[in-house]
Amino acid sequence: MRAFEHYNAKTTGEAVTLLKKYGSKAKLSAGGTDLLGKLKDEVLPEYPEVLINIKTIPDLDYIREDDGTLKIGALTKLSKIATSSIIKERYDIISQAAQSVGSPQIRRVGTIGGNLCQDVRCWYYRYPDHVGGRILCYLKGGQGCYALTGENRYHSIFGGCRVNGSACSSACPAGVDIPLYLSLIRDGDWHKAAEVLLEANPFPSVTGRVCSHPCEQKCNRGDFDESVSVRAIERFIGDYILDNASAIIKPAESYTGKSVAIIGSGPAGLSAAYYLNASGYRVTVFDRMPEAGGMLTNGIPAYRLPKDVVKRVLESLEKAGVEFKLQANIGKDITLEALRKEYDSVFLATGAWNQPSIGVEGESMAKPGLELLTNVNRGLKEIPGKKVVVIGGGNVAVDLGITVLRLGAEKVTIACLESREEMPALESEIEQAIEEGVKLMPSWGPARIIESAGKVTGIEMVQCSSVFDAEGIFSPTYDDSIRKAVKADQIILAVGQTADISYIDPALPLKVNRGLIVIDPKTQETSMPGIFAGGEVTSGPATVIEAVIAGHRAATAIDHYLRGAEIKDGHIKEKTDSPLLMFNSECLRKTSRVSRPIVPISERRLYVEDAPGLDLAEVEAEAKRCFNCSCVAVNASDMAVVLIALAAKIVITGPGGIRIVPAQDFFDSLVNVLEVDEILTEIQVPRPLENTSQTFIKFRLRGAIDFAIVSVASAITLNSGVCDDARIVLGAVAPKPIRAVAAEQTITGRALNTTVVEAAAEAAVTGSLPLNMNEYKVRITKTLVKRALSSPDPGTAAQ
Amino acid sequence: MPTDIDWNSSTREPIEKSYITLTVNGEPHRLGIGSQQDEIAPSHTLAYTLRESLGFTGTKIGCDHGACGACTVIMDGEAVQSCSILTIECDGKSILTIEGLEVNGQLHPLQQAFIDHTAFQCGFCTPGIIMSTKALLDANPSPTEDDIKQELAGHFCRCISHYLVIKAVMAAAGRER
Repeated sequence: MRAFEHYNAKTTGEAVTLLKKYGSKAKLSAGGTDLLGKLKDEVLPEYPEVLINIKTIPDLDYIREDDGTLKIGALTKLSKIATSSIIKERYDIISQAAQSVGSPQIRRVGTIGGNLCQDVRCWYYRYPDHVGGRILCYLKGGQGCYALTGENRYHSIFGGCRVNGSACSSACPAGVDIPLYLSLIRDGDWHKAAEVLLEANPFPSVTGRVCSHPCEQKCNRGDFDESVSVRAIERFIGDYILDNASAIIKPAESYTGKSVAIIGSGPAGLSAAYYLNASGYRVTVFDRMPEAGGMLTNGIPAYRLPKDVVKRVLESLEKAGVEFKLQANIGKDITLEALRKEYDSVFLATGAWNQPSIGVEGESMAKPGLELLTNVNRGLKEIPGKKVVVIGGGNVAVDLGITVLRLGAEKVTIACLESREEMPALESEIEQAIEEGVKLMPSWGPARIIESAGKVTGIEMVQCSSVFDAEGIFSPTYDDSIRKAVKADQIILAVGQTADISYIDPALPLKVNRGLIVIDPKTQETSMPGIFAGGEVTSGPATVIEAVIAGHRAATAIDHYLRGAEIKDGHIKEKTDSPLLMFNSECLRKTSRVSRPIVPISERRLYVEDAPGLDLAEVEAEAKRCFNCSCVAVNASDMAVVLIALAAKIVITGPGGIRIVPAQDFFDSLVNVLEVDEILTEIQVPRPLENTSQTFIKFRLRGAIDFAIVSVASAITLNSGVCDDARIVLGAVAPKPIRAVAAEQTITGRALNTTVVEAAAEAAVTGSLPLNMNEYKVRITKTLVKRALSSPDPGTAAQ
Repeated sequence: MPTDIDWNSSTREPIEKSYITLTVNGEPHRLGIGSQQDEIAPSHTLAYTLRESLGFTGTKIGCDHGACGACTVIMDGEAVQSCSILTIECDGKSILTIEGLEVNGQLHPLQQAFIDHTAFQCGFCTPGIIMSTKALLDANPSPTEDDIKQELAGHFCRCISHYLVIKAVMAAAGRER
């Protein structure tokens, strides 16, 4: 074992004081038989610096009955509980459960509190670090569960618990709760699914088409067969939202009377507009262009993002109350200062539309790329040249390459400083460009544009040996001796677009750095109070989703600002604790992802979307492929099931005194609800009625030193043969002990005849979700429930 | 009751001793706590201390996870697994190991019974089984076969000596069939 500090606490107060001081760096030892094993194997996510022995607290070892309530001190040894006459007489399943733990040696050391607080069971989680390395599962801070698709015979049959968020949502820049909306699709609740998406991303119809979908790259299913087609599903819901826009994108219920001006109607501006409008602010969006949408309307080609989608997004915003003022010339028609006075807050989201000079001879003969894309998006089908060279390696350059080719150019070359691997454009889009016939010239920089009689005839390129310096800063170096001339009649520039902030009066105290507006990255706040900025005007060229997030963050900060609250980063992140998560059992079989490939080259057009969307059945099938990644370990505490069956309460002591929770609620979050500075100190069990029959059955492979594969505890109160009250608890079948509520309902009010018992056994496993190797646990559970309810005499159930 | 915590007087941090005392086979040992070569580190298990610091190598470490019983010793009269107990938590305890059974060069009758019944092959698990049996017989001098099985349920033997072990224990208890 690695070193730790050790304390022997003499009182509960001492232990709590130490826990308060060391927090998650400390571990309590209440028996130690489980903990020492985990320390030896270095299983815990964080190796403790401090071990606090609480076995030295003398006043937590007792068994007594006070006013019809059994009280057991948390440090009472299991051996003592197993043989206690008070417990045997009235609470027999507690002694049976205690007697079933481990071996006699373990029961002499193990305590009831330690047993209740034991960590979950999963061999991946508990895989010894020194044997072949650490298996970084969910519980250890990893992103996946190995048991879900691996060896899982002893794991949960009732779903899992989310622990550290999910891989896809963590990868999503907007933090969309992807597993949640996919589970809502499985439930058929499209409206709720749409709401979950909109909470983090207002334009899934757009991002569902153009997002680089890092969620899919991180999808754990990718290691199993193929990742879930998250983007295609997102697109479907995005279109569903637009189809039902009047019901989903609505004006705020009430408006605050405050107003916000947004300059720029690209994804950042629109995102802020959406959230601010929904929060009750009157929003006016200004744009210099005749049509709103910024890059969505003008920059991104229609074959990737059809313009009617953007139009419908804009219409839905307008109908919800957002006002648009187009062809507005900020800085000339109205100054920023004037806007600031007229509106309660201003959000600058003017993008990066400027093609800067790149300092190459003949540069004035070249065409700025964004201008060409804008023209094409407006329907101007000019053919820029027959042989075209596009300079740049990003998405705009690749879009230009494909666009120019589809416009009718004979030969299109994309030349960039970066090597093929370093090209910043999306790999899938580079591949598409190559497929369509675009030639790539990676690692070449423009030296001069060759002209003859005022016309471009070619471009001389020089080999670029490296783009970035050792610190990763853009600092290209060239090998002057390696040059190449490429014939061309048109050169298009798509490099290093910068922000045009000439509309801002330089006299204003607005901080600018290298041509970009300086902001607080958490709140999007500029150096001028009340003025916020986001998107490419603050970052330089970026992605749609990044702009959407910046707009969302700004909207949250502006809301805080206008309410006079402290401006905080209000970006919504998914919750980490949740009840048992369900998936569709079909997801455990290998399947191919449903995706529609883009249409064949011969059918690709400038103004028709390349990629067809999924249909309803395909989306439903694909949503079923989601693992709903969670931890499917089991809680195998024998004491837990019997205590829940007997409606016990758990006394928890912390710095603020004590709190008492029902035993069932103690396991509400993985592994239990104890805060880092709290200790389980006592168990209270109400005396069962005379006519309550108790049963505990533990199914395991060996008679000793073995955990339950399934355990069932029941407390059934019978009144002249009819069940008055029933508590049936299942252990080792889920990450926490669970009550078989449906089975309890089945028998309540009825006589326990064979038919009723059969029905209850069936009800106990309805909704179970066996994994590939543990369907047998469902059958065992059913059998044990049947036996528990058929047991004629409490205490005689077989073990 | 845990509700009666006197928060004013008992919420200090505990003051830790710099040594512990441990009686092994009747002989007291004073063991310093620390990270020096001759000291007991907080992470040392009782099994480790017995074997590595005090030289009682009759106590075996099998699984080191409380699942095989090989490390069983008697602590204050009870058979416990020494691999799952920290030495630092054994201050003032009295330990009996297999080395403590022999008196004046004479094997303990229980040890002799194991030999007489060839109740082992490789012998690795034997010290642990004998210590559990000793504690059992001390508490219950005439156990039934079932009592023995229950008590020894935590002991694993790869050579399958179990049947002969039960015979040996029954014989030692004077209940030979």
